[in-house]
Amino acid sequence: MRFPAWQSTGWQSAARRSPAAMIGAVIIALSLALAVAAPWLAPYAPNQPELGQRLEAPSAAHLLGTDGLGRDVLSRLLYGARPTLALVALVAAGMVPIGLAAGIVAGYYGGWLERALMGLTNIVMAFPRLILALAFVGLLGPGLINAALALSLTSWPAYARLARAETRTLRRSDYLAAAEMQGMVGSRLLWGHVLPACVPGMQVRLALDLAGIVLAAAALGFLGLGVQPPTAEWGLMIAEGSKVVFDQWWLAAIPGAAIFTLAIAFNLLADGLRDLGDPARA
Amino acid sequence: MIQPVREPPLLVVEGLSVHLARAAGRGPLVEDLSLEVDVERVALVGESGSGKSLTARALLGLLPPGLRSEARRLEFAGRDLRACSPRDWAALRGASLALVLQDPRHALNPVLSVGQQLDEILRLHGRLPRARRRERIAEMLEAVGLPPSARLLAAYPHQLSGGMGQRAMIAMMLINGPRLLIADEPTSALDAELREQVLELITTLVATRRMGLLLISHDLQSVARHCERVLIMYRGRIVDRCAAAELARATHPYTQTLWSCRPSGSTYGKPLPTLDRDAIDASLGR
Amino acid sequence: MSLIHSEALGVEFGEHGERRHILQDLDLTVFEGESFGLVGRSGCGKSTLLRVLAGINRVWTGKLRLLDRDVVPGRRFVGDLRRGVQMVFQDPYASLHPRHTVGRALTEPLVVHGVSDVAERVVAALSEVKLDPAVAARRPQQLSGGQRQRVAIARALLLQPRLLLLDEPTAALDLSVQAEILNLLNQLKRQHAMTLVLVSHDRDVIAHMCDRAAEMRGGRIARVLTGGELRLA
Repeated sequence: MRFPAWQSTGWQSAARRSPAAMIGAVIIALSLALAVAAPWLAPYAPNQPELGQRLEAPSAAHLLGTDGLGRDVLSRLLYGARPTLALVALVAAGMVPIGLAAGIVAGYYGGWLERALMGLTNIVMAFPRLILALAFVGLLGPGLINAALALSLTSWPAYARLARAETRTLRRSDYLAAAEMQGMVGSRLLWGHVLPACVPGMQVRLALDLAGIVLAAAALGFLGLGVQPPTAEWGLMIAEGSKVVFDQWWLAAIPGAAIFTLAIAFNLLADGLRDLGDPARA
Repeated sequence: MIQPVREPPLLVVEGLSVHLARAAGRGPLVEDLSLEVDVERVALVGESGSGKSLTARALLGLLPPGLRSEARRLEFAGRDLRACSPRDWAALRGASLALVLQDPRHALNPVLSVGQQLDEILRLHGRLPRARRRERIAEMLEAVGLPPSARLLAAYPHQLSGGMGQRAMIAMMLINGPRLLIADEPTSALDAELREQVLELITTLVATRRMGLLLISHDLQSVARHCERVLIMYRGRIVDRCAAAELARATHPYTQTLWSCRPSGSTYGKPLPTLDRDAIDASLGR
Repeated sequence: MSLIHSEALGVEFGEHGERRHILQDLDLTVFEGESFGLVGRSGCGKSTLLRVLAGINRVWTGKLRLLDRDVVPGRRFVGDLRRGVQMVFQDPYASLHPRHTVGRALTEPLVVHGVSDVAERVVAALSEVKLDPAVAARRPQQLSGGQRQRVAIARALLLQPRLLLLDEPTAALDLSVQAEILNLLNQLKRQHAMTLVLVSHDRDVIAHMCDRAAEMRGGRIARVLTGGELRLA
């Protein structure tokens, strides 16, 4: 069973051994910090239209220019990090517990329960995620929570499969037999013994998934199905900017670059975590 | 009288050491090791962590990433191994130098059948036509005690039992007629019954093909039956060298304990002798 | 006094049409206080038998009497029976949870059974197997094979079992470490007046450790060897 090296040796040596993970982690941390500190860092209010200063190029007054309603792009960028990151966090908080629970129960109890849960998993997995998310949002209406719900409900299968595979292996191993011999049963076994075993595999998967979630969140925003205007959100900003992309290209490119950077950061983190957890490279 | 020109010994190692690439305070894993193997059966014996497996891998240029080795001399049949490029190594391994590992299920390619793997190794190092290759494979399989049947040739490694898998691996390693075989705990993953059989097989093959054998193990009594000389390793160093026949009369405390710590019917009811590691460390000046 | 008594014990495996007998027609008697060996090649069923005795494998047929009570298939062991039968597995690396510290591995069983003075018991358990109390803070990866097996033994002894089952306890260890562990097992057996059932494919280990042994083949007991026969073999 793998055991992530970084958990036992401390993050400093982990950083040395995987610059990728470090870079990714730093970018993500920075994004979080900027999002949280937006009210103090943003030079202007994000939703303050100034119709006299529409579509201005980047200048000293507006470092990243202004958009179609004269709002400062830099401020909107900083504030726009919030819905994106909030969505990512909500989705993670939704899909991981659902997936793990389904997978662990399926793997531990087996029989018809396992077949039913895995059947459900396969069905959900067969649907294209974004389209299903569109349907959900179409049913429930647009908004941050609904978008998060939609993405979680379509993304948990991967974790269910992971957890079930891990649990099945565990079932046959001596860990559980030993725990049983000590008289441990039921929930203590599942929480204390099975769940921790599933965590390492899940961590890498999660980091990778989050990269995709960032893009999916941006896509929903772009389609107008996430947070609604006038709230600043990167996907929404790209949608608005795409209308004037040939003349004021930066309006779409800048939020695009932000999304790109964040997605890459998660990819790097996932890559790094995988390497750190790989005993051959440790 | 004209002296016949002596061929150099098959393997000459002098001052081999293996250490972590980023040393950071840890001592060498193998320190100043010297040994020679000619057309004979030599055993390298030690416990886990003594560095014996690392030594084997260093000799074959197969150290895991993160480890480095150096030696004053490292020669195979007169050829300096330190100067070998990866290409030279690829030509040597499997052809003149062979390595048999502990668990065949991990060492054999799981997606190729036995027949395919044997064929592959023949094609890698030679240019025999297919019919000749088939003959060689059949000969080799018989030599290791496996039926040269279509069924076996089509079998995948996971379908073989431990003993059969090990025989298949031996067949693969010896089919190109290497001069030196390094066997790293070839029987540890097998049942006690099979161990003797597989060791017998290895030593017989080595003797009939006039090869050199470096057998690595932690079971002193077992290798004593099959080898001519024994080298005892402890924490990265060779601490004793002995002819196999003399092991029962060894004087070094470590060797003595290793020799007598085996359980058996005659030790029933009595505590087994165990190693006093502190005393041994002290005697080595650590 | 027989601690274990089975009649016509059988374990089957497989589905309709392809049933295999892993254990068949097993009559076994083990007396209190003895060290009993189960020897045979891989696949002879000795580990399965051990798991039935341990209560891990609960699907079997026949009669089984363990620790003065009749045991019924399908039911988990509880109470005295659960505490009274403990097992040391072959690969300590696979039986100690890699993400739990040694301390936790030793504390949990005590907590589950409502034992008080847990901390003292853990320290006592570690010193009984000749491990430094500082080991409690480490995880299995940080210990050597011999140390891990000592932890597994300490854990098995925590609940003060009358019957200790050992599944190839030294197969994964070097000979010298094996000697230490075998000595330890014998010493602990005397100290705690336990009965030992030891599974091994290594006849030398059986001959050294056991008073009597059963030779198993194809799921059956081929022969029961007496002490004298074991020593001669």
